[in-house]
Amino acid sequence: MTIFILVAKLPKAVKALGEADVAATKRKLGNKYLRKRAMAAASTLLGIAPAAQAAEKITTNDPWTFDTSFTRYSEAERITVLEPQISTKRDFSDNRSLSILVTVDSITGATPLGTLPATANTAPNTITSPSGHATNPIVGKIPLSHMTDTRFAMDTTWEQPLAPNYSGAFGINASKETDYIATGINSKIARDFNQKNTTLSIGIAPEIDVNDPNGGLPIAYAVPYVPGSIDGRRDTKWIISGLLGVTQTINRRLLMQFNYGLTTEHGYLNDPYKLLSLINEGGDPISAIYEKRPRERIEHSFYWLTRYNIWAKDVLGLALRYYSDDWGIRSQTLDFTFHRQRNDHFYWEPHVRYYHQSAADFYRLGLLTNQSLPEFASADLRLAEFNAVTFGLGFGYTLKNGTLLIARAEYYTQSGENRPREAVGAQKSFDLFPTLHAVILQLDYQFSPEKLWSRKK
Amino acid sequence: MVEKEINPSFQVGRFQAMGCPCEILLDTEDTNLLAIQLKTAKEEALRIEKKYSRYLSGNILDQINQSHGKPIQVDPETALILNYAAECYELSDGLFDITTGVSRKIKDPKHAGWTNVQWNNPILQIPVSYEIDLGGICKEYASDRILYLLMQRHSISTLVNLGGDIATGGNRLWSVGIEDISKPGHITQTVSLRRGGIATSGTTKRLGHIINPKTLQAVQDAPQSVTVAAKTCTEAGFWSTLAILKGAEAESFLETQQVESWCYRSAA
Repeated sequence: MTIFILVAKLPKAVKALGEADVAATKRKLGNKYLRKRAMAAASTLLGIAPAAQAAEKITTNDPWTFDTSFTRYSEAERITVLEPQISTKRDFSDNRSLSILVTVDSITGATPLGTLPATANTAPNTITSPSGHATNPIVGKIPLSHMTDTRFAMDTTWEQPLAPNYSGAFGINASKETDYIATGINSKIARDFNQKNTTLSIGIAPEIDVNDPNGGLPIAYAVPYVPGSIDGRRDTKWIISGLLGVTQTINRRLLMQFNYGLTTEHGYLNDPYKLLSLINEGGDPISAIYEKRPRERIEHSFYWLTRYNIWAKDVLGLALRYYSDDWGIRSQTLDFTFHRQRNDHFYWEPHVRYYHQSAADFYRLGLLTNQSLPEFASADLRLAEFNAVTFGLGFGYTLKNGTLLIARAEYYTQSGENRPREAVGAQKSFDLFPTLHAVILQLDYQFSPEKLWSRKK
Repeated sequence: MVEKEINPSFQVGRFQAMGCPCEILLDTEDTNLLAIQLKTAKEEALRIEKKYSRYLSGNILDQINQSHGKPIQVDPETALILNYAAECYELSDGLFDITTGVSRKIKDPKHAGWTNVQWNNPILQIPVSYEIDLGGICKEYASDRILYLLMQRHSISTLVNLGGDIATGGNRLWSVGIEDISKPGHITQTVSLRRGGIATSGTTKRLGHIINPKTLQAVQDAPQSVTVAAKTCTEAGFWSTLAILKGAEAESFLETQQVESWCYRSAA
């Protein structure tokens, strides 16, 4: 939300593109690997979902409008996220409005632990566990860990004009998981120029997150379960995001937007569930330790969007985003959508997205036992170099009662270095970045109570 | 579901029984032998499951639990198990009690307690509305039984693993990984075992509460996971279960009893 509202003049579609990555990563997806996956899901969705709404927002005199959706994000052999979402907006006179968004994410499945695959030397012959359902590590396969969690989130935004040509939006957001709580506020002011052909926006969004890992807060580089490996229960993370945006209507058909975003994070930035293998020179993982990341992060993002109305309601959207942070990650996103309005009732919308990122400076496959520990190290695949490609197709249909039904399907793949050069010994022959495949399905229904009920009478 | 896995040094055969993934490991290259032994193992596991499952009607356990206070004559195998259960009750000073259901909530706390059971081999008489649950014994017992059967037929080094309850025989040294309870899929430690048994008990939300049969309260401050190595799997299971019931004293208890064990607690 933080970033979306900063560009409130634009259709939601546009706001969500690209920048959604950042917002979603930070906020919702906090600390776990699966969060990352959910993030991928969310961002790909956000990339298209609002776009559809943009051109075909239901029009009504009813002050209330609702948007309900159900999303299923499913990775082959890994996690599945089910996400019901309800948003409602109440319009008041004089362009004032209140929006409330409620989201539930239910996540189950397996995510990479960060450790390296067992080798023939280290894989035990068999395994014991209280649950009785443990499976023996497979030689050469990156270890996954099963997990399950549910996240509840609520975002509320109030928008109103502040003065002639000035508008403002103020919001609060909060989310809760069993081990993570995030609370933030955000505000944005927009100023229109040139008969509203130009809009300048400035916004800021501070947030406090509390990490309360299951089993306590691990000490960086400690060996799990060794006495003294846990220090207390929780730690906090402070995030401040700022954004500057310009939206320019070039002509009747062409609209451009440029955003610069700056985010600083401070506090507990480790992933408490991620481990890092200690390996010998033969590549055998001898033991594992908790990861260690810096306690600061500064992130910059540049975002440029062009929307071109080819004719009538057919719109091409192209968004480019460049991101850079002081952990050494650089990323580029290219996102393309085409909104084809077949007739008054029906549209379809293909979507293609490409994403590439470089690795963080302290990303390591594992650490050698005979070397001293570096200042920071993490084997989290989210910090590795990878490419991601999304193909999607959405259909929107305006029903007779004026409500809108949207269905979307997306296919997401994420691929990295299968056999990285840094691999040691036996690890050289293993696939250390298995390509991830995911399918995202979404149903979305938008309505205003007035239309819905009046038809039924 | 049966699958085979060839390893340069040993062979693995897998099957599903007692609601768990099961496997046997044989120190052989003979795949025919694996197939034969696997069949034996599976049949024995399913036999014991069928006989003592709480979820099947008509078996001996069901007859006992549906006896409405009337005496029941049990078969020799069941008699051995009940003798063992009685012994466990004594040894544990009443903590290990098959009438309370070691790992599930008792529906009615008034209807439990091995002291109120009449057991005169081969006649068992349990008070009205009592139930016994052999879940805390059967899987370990089955591992030992299967190992015995397999070794009797072919005396090669063998490991039987029924959902983490392990029995081994022969001269080969086997390595057994202990799963990290907070990071399923990760192994915290690998232990070596030759001729003996390993069992693991735990307390997590997923596994439900463990009830102390004396206080009838959920056990407090127990380790999340206790793995024990002993002469047999059945014995290992006794110690690991008992250690959990000891709660905060689990580690010191095991140490006093000189039981080889590995306990895990998430918070220090």
